[in-house]
Amino acid sequence: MIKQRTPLILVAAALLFSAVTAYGQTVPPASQQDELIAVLNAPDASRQQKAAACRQLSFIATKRAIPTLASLLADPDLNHMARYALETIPDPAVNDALLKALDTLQGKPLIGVMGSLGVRGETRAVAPLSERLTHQDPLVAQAAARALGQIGNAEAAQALSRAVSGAAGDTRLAVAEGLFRCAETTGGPTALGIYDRLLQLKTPHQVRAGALRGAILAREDGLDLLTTSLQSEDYILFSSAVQTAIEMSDARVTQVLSAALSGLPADSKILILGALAERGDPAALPTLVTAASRGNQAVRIAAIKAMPPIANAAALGTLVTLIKDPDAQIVQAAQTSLVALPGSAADQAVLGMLERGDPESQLQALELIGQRRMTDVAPALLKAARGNDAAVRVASIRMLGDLEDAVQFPVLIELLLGARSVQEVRAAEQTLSAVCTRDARPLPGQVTIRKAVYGAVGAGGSADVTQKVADMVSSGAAAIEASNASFGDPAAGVVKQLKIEFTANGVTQSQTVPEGRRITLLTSVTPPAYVNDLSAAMAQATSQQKRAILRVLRAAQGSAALDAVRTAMKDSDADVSSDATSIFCAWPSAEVLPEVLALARTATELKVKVVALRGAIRLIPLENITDAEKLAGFKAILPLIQRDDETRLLLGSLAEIPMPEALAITASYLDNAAVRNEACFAVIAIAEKMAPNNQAQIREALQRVLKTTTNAEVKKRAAQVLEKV
Amino acid sequence: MAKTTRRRFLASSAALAFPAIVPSQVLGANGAVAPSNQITIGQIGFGWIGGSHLSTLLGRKDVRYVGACDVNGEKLRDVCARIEKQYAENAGQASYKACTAYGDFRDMLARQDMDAVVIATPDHWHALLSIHAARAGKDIYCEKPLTLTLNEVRAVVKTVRRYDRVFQTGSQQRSNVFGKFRDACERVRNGRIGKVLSIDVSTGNPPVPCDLPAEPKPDHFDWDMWVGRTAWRPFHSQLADKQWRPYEEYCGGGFADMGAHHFDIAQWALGMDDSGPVEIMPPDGKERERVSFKYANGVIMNHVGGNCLGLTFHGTDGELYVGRDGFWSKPESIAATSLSPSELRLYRSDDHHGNWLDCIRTRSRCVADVEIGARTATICHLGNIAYQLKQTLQWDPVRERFTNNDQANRLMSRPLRSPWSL
Repeated sequence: MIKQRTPLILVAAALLFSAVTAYGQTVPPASQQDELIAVLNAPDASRQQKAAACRQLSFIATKRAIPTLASLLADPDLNHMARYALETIPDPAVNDALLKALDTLQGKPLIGVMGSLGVRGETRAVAPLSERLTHQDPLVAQAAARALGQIGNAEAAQALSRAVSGAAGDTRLAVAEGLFRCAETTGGPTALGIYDRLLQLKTPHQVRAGALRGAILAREDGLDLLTTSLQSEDYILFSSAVQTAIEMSDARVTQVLSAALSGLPADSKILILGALAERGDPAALPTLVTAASRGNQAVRIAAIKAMPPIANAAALGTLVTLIKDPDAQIVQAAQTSLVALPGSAADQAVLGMLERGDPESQLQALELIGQRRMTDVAPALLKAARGNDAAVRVASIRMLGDLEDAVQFPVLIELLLGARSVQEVRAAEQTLSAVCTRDARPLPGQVTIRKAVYGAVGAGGSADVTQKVADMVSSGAAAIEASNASFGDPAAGVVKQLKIEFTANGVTQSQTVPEGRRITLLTSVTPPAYVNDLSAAMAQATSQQKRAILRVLRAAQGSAALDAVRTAMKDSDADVSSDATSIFCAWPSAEVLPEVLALARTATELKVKVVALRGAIRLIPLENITDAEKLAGFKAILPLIQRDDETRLLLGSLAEIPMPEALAITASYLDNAAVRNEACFAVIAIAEKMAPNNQAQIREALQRVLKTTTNAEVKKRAAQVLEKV
Repeated sequence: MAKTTRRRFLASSAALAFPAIVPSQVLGANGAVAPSNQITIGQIGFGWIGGSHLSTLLGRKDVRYVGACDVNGEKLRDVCARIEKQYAENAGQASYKACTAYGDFRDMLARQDMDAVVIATPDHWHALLSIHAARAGKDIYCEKPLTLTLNEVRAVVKTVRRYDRVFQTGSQQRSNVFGKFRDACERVRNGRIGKVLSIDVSTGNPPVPCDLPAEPKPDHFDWDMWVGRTAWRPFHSQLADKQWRPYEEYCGGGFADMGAHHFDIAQWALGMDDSGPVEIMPPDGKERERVSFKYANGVIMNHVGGNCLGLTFHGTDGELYVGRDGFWSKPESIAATSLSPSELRLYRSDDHHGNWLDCIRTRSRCVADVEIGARTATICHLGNIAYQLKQTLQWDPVRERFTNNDQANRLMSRPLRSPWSL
């Protein structure tokens, strides 16, 4: 006995152990069947062990396991697991065991065995199951009905048909369910008889809806019943008929649905229109056009929305007409459908609206051109941009900037020079700027990598890859891919990103991309011809137009554009020269720094001095020079600063220079209440970077911060840094 | 037979007159949906994603909770209190009593004044509850994955069709929730990446057997109902408190969890919503670390590890990634360029719950109809069975049977604990 128990306990333990191993370990080898049966027969095996054995047997058990498993069918704790193993055994002897158990079981074990007989489709069970359709326990009767339905032969159907009239409540529902299942299995006349019978009975709405669907689909020609049902005043039957129509491939269904439409209430019409749209039959279009043109608003909208999938010229004309409807919601629906309407005919219709329509139609056409992403429309847009209506001119000029089509740049400049209003000038400026940006081409040149980090998007590991990226650039790479292949994997299993701060051709940029994308380390330049055209246009432009051109030149960038801005700084028109100076001082590359510094020193007008100082404070950090040289630059402009705003900016820039002198300068502002906050932040930032050098100076500066600030967050940060010193 | 009005059909409260059925966008046009336009709902399950459904649907004027069901009595009490507090505030009343708490879903489904149900339980209950709800004549929103086993897939679809129910699967990526999933599928369907060669789907690992010990059961918890159709086991707080996801008794593990979202998008992009792969290849310990699927047209779909956030399509003309963390392509123009009107558009829904409610009103099929959810669940089960058997399996997506492996066919079903049956 002891000898026998030991391996069984081991097997049982192994069953439980297997439950904690990795996936794919739960299917045992077929050779384990006898050991698993032995576990079931062992008097001292626990319920948990026996349940695990049944689970394993469900994968591999053969006829040999049936007697043992069948003996557990009455076990209050294990009857489910016994069926768990039995139900999947292909051998027909399982059915013998289940049939035998029917006569001995009660309650849940009986219900379970009846279900298993249904799953296995055992026709010998029809008679005993039929007897239980009137069982006093309604759960047993309902299980019998469902099992009979799963067996689904003619005898089962007959038994269920006999029982359905006498059944009540949930049992009637279960018998109906059994009948549905029989109908689905048998098909043909039997199915038709079942559906017709269910339709005649007093049953819940879902049964009647399903029965009607079945009755229509089971008929060789279900059109008559469909037609009749579409006239039903019973909403259940009506909506079920409409739903069923969607499933029918018969081409005549479209005609039946269309014919049913007249005389129906609005809600029913909407259902039918939806069905016509889902069927996608172009033959429905005349119906949709009629319904869209007049009548109830909701019905019209439903018809309009149904058009795009099956549209043709007729629909197009209707939608173009409806876009002028007095009802705003109809207009909105028509516009939406026009956008979605496929094909070049729709494009032509939209162009026709632009060329021949009234101003309102023209504006709608412009909207549609954008939404439809139409191409080859530049000539029509240019014509509209030179038309009589001011709003159409502005919208057309704007649309030219959104186009992917090539438009001659001088033509766009002509539009600017011919602008008749501020709005047109502004629109032309936006379009010219957009085209300059769009047509800019990469410019090879000097690239300096300032900082590169590859790592997790949120919390997680990251790696400083500055040197790696710099090496890649040195070896000729113009674009860097954010990938583990490039940098290894600093944060396994999480999504990462690459951030690179770099200077290209004097312009500092910072770009961040997710894994799989690339950062292109280049600046881009607008075609020189564009800049030449813009420069030439300055001579003929009004003051307002010149100022617009200057803003376009700022978007164009590049040395030629900068030269044009320089020239404009001397313009006789004060507004033009002022704008040019501001744009010059805000130029993105550091090449303008000497001139900006000179302006800051020599300008007599405060406004010019301020923009120059601000430009200098921004540009000095962009230069490819040492921190000491940057500090020298800042010290040089320090005496020129007259306002607190520029002092604050300067403190922000000094915060990036971890040098004792920078710390001393920033600390000197701690007593200035107007800029104290920025001074505190700058002192802390420098101290963080400088530590652990110059500890005495850092400590003193931080203690002054602690003493002077009232900002709790600043105090906390200062204390944290002080602790490290 | 008495005529059935739309109100009796949809909401079945004879006391309310029902106005004309109109699309919800029209209903909401003036920002005040009439009470009789509301769809009355109940919800089963309020842990995990159930709370999110509650928040979303509580905020809608065209929906009214009339019932709530959970096996956790304490949670159920809190949920009902929250629903009633919200409705009381909306009505400007001190209290609102119209949401009934149910411990047994069958009692709730028996209500005649409830139009629809949200099913947000652990996965092992999804199929059975969907079937019960359909039989009871309710329209259904059911969380993904739709079933626990392959055999349940067809049972759910047949039952929903049998009773003409509107069904929305909770795979909300079909409504562009969390990312530009529809945009990606439209690009693939329109050939923007050329011929599709393969798809890499990032999802979790298959489940493992549950090894949790027994714990004392709290009085407020109906554990027998929680276990439901699965094999009996004693209470454990981890299972009761949403941590059932790793265990094969109750779900398809992490593989089916996010797989139900991302395989779903792959199916949509391939136009396979009524079909599926024909071969499933297990890991080979060499080049193939995880399961791969092959479609009849030769497309290979690989299960890959990673962040489980999305999937990558590889084609002859480019690659396209779509996920909850982004939408990009090589070349970039594939993702960056919009579709023209002449290109194919897919079913557009930008509000998953709204789409369900619209379809209830118009008796249309939802963007994630039951067949769609069922076919995606099928892929999850196929993959898990291949992981389990470690054999290459041939699958017939029409007959829905394995054609080369009897043992795999045995794994298609799991007998239900009485009194539950499909």
